[in-house]
Amino acid sequence: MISQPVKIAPWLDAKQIEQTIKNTRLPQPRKDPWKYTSVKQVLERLDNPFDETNELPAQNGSGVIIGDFGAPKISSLARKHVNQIANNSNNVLASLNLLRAQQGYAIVSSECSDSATPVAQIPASDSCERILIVVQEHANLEIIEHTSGGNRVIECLILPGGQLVHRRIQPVTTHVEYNSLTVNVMENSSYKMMQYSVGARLRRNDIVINIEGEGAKVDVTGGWKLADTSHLDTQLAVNHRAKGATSQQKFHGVVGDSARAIFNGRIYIARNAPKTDAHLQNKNIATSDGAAIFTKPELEIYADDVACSHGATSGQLDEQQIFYLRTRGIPDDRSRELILDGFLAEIVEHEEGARVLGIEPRKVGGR
Amino acid sequence: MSLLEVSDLHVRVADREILNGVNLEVNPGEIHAIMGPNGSGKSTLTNTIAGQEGYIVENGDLRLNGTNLVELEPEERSYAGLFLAFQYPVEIPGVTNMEFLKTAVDSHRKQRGETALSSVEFIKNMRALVTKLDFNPEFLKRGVNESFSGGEKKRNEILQMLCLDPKVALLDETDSGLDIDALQVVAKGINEFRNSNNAVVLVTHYQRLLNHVVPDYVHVLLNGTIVKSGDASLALDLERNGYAWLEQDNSP
Repeated sequence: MISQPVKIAPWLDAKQIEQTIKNTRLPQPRKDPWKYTSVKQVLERLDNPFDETNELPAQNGSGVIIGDFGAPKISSLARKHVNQIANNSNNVLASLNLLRAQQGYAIVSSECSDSATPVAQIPASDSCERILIVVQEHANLEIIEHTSGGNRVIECLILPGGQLVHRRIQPVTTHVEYNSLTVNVMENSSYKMMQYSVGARLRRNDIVINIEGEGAKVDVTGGWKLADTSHLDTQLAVNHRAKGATSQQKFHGVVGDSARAIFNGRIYIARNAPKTDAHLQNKNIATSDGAAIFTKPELEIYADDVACSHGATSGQLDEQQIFYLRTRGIPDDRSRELILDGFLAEIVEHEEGARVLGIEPRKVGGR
Repeated sequence: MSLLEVSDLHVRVADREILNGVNLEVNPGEIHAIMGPNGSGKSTLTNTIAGQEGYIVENGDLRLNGTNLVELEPEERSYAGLFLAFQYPVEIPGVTNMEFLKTAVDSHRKQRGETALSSVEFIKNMRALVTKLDFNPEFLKRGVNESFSGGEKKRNEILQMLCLDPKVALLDETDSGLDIDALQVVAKGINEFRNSNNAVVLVTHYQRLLNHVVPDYVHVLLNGTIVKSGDASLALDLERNGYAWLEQDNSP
């Protein structure tokens, strides 16, 4: 008997979740992983009423089912996975999200879809939402997600042989925005994510990718272009917990005015994950004296026979590159623009990503 | 009027005077070679003419087709008709060669009050040029000099030169690090470019390129001044005897 059911997931007991939250240490301000971003502001945003609940995303063609957690063909998956994937014992913010969420829904790919990859949209929302994504065995799915100043927790499971392409578009918002994404990647499945971000008052992206099956492939790229007083904090953790998997992480950022970009990328390779191939790279260019970049790559390896690399740089535009372009008659400001656009184009693969970063779409696929 | 006129040029980099009174006059239709050992000031001369920051003209004059270059920005020197082929061409990742060349050509057209070429028209022109020079057309789709071999980078400089059609092309050690095939392609490009209205200045260590592109004048730069000028046979003398005999004559 549940005394106080969670609104969007009535099989869960809110009292019990509250108790778990009480027993867990809240994130500590000014300490990793909240060293540069105010966790207080994120919590305050959760405590204040969000806007109206948005509509469920429209279903786009066959091969995918979208519905609330009680919907047929979803409810059993929801009961099994909601709040299980996002490791609820430690993720207080995900637990709080569950209690406050005005909306919860699942996107489930059909099993063995032979037809073209179905596409599901996660529309922009400034409410508090909980989303479950399940890619069935050997199924394909593409997700196009827009974020805009809400509190959103996504739990995602890619079953063996499944393939998910996830594009995340983060346009300008004046709100405090929090996104938590946890992806469990099973045997021989693949997860490809692209995240493109521009300014926000405060935007925090927590991304945890758990590789739980042999031979899985993970590819994450991201780009940001920040101006004014924007604040973007991306915390990425890729946990290799199975052997023979590959992961590739590449982020490029341009930071101007008095904007701040924070990136923390961590690769963890467990003892039982030999033959892992994992690489992480973050490059930043600051275009003003007031811009601030805090980037930290981390590598934690407990297995033998792995190929890993990581690196992070932040610097200014290369004067020699500018001079080279100017000697060809390209004016100074246009030269700078061209170099910065090229730097971002290196990580952009889709037109929509190019648009949000404000670079010319014709550059897409330029290299 | 001469195309390029360097008179009594004194140049300082940081607190060191590198050039102390260089004189050079290049007329339409001419090919000049500037030779000299390492540290003689060859690159300082080309960088100064192109307008690189940090190269301070202390004294003297620098004119291109009558226009005083000294106060001009690098892009303005390009509009005036100057081209510098870099000794170490710079990589610009993520910007395709095609996009780079079109931006450069469009900037020049805008300066002349002409409209930008359509992409279709530009691509057609470029394909024709690339074929003429025996370059792989894939070249145009790649990032500017990005992971190009040494030879490819130098060919790319020649391609840009032909694209922008300058009055004076300054080639800084364009022959260094090239194998025989690449050297011939580069030479072919230079011979393709030259006509009775423009001029080429080759800055080089070796006589090698001069077998393929025969200079009208050869100048020897030593300790920041031109110590000897002559015809193509001077390059052969230098190849045989080195620079030592000149250094003895001109010891400070």
